[in-house]
Amino acid sequence: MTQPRAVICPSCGGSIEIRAAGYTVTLGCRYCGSVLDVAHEDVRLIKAYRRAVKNFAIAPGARGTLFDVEWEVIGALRRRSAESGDWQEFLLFNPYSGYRWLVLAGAEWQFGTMLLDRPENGPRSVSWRGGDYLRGDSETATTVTVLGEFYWKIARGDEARATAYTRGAEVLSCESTADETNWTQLIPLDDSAVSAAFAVERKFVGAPQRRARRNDTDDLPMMFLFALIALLAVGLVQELVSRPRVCTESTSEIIVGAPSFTTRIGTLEVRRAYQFVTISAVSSNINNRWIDLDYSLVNRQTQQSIDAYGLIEYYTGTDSDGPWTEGSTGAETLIASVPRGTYDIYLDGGAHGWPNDPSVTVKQVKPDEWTVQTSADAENPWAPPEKVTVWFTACTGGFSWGMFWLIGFLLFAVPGAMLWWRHREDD
Amino acid sequence: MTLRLKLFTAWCLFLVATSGVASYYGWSLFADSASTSSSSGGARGPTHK
Amino acid sequence: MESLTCPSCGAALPVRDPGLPYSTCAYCQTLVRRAEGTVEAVGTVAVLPADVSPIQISTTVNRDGIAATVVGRVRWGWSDGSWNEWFLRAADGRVFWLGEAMGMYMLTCEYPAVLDVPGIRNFAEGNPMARDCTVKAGGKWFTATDIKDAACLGSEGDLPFPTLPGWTMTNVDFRNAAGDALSVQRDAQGTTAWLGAWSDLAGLAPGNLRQIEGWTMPRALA
Repeated sequence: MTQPRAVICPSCGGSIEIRAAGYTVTLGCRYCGSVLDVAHEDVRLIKAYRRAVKNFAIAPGARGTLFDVEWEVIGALRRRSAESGDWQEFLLFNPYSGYRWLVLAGAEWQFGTMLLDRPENGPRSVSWRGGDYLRGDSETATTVTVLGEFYWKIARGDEARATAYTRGAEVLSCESTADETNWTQLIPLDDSAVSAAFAVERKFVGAPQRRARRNDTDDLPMMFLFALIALLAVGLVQELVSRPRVCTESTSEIIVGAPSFTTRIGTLEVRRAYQFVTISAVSSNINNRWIDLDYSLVNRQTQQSIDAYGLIEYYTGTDSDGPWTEGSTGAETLIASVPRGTYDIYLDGGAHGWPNDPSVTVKQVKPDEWTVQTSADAENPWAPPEKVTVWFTACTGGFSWGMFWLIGFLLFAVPGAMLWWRHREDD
Repeated sequence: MTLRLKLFTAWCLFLVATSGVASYYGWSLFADSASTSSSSGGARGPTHK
Repeated sequence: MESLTCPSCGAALPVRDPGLPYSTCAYCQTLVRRAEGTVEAVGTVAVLPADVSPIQISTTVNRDGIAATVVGRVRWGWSDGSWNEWFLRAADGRVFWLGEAMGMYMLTCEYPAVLDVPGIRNFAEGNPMARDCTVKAGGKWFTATDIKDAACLGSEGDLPFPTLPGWTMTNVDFRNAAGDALSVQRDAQGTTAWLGAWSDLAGLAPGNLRQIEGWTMPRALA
């Protein structure tokens, strides 16, 4: 009967010794964070988790002497409220003295004792053992992580309504759940007293670090705000810095199914060392057609050419889900790093039908003249061939949406990862 | 302002500057240059299923 | 102290409280019924699960004029946990229960008067107890805070009822703001009511506490 009770975590198989055997009801596994029901001989898994719960100021198992009594830290909780952010609570146990609490909120330590008697209620205060305690704020405290042993049923996500009543530095904390109300007396405890009693993790010793830590939780919204501002700045900078913007326009008619043909869209002058050139093409109403657009920017001086492509495709149809459309009737082509110079812009374009090209006959009438005839309309073999009209606008400068979203990703990845990491730590 | 918020602010400024320089030199990872792929040639059609 | 032997294993069976009918053999877990100098084995009691309670058989308490010695223990289990109830006998013959929960102690003596209160009589007749039921006992008001169906998990020493596996009871704890306690228990033998107060261990002025391995007994309690 004196040998300690050890349980095997059903989730990870780790062996855990129960320190407060006979009292402990819930156990947070120190290997995998799973929450176990150890109230009975057969250990039940309440909820499995896969990561050890870390980052407590004092590790469960530590022993130390406070108020002339030796205490063992048998459980640790991280709790959170919207008003106070995160704090830690440690359950202290001595078989001859029962349970106490050690609370670390921000930089402050408190020593808590559960009350057996209840304070008497007044309108704005309560009285307990001859003292009046002023009612403070109420908040909803949520249990975030659970590690070690507890003498009641507890799980991550448990919520309790907590109200603080203060008298000087002493606090009476009233916590209610649907099932019960518990009163705890909290008295402030010196940093040094806690450090002398227990091995406190270094990052929780000394006020400056802890103050920084408390702000931890608050700088994430700022990061998202900064990221948003930076992204807007990126958009503005991209728009302004890529100037000057000079444009040339033209229109072409392209025969569907005919071999590709070449035409000159216009001339542009790049006035800086390097600039974007953007060519946008908008077609007339096409349906089940695609238009290949191969552009060449030919430098008048050097005759060197820069090639780029665009594609307009638009399809419609009907299937079991109803009508569908795909593609669009316009296409924007971004040509990067075009060096200073004057360029003639040539288009090599061809339009095609889906699933088949209308069959066309191309005849060379004269060395310079071709006739194109569509035989789709067999009734009228002399019907004019199908043409699509494309309007081109070519401009220097441009806006790279790809770069914009890439930078947006790099901006938001940092606070996003922190948020994800925090939630991962929580489950 | 925490250290990590300062670092993050520096990161934001770096990215804004990078985007400015990239725009000034007309440089983009996502340009439609012909070397990446060519549209001419192969038949196309909807990918709708 | 007269001495008997266990009818099952022959080990000595100390009689700590001759007024109690049942005793658990510490060696073979046989539950023995004693009557007029005869002993009879009535079954086997489950082995008590390990715990770190500082109370043991022969522990003494002294509070509010109650000076009594622990003669037996039953361990109760309910859906969300378990607890010890220690049975005590005072030199003047009075009996007490010492309930142990959350590292706190509830020392009570029998208070049959409250069984006439309609709410409790209704409970004694087998009906469920309403939570938040309020009763007056010993001049104080109490509210029912905790209602549990419990099953016997094991026992040791001398006890007033048979603690065989399957022995069950319904326990209702009443509390008030002053830290007083009222406990009403209903089992196969009937319903009893116990009135007392909550205390920490030091408040019981205990003697002869169990030495728990790995822990030093505080000087004040040793």
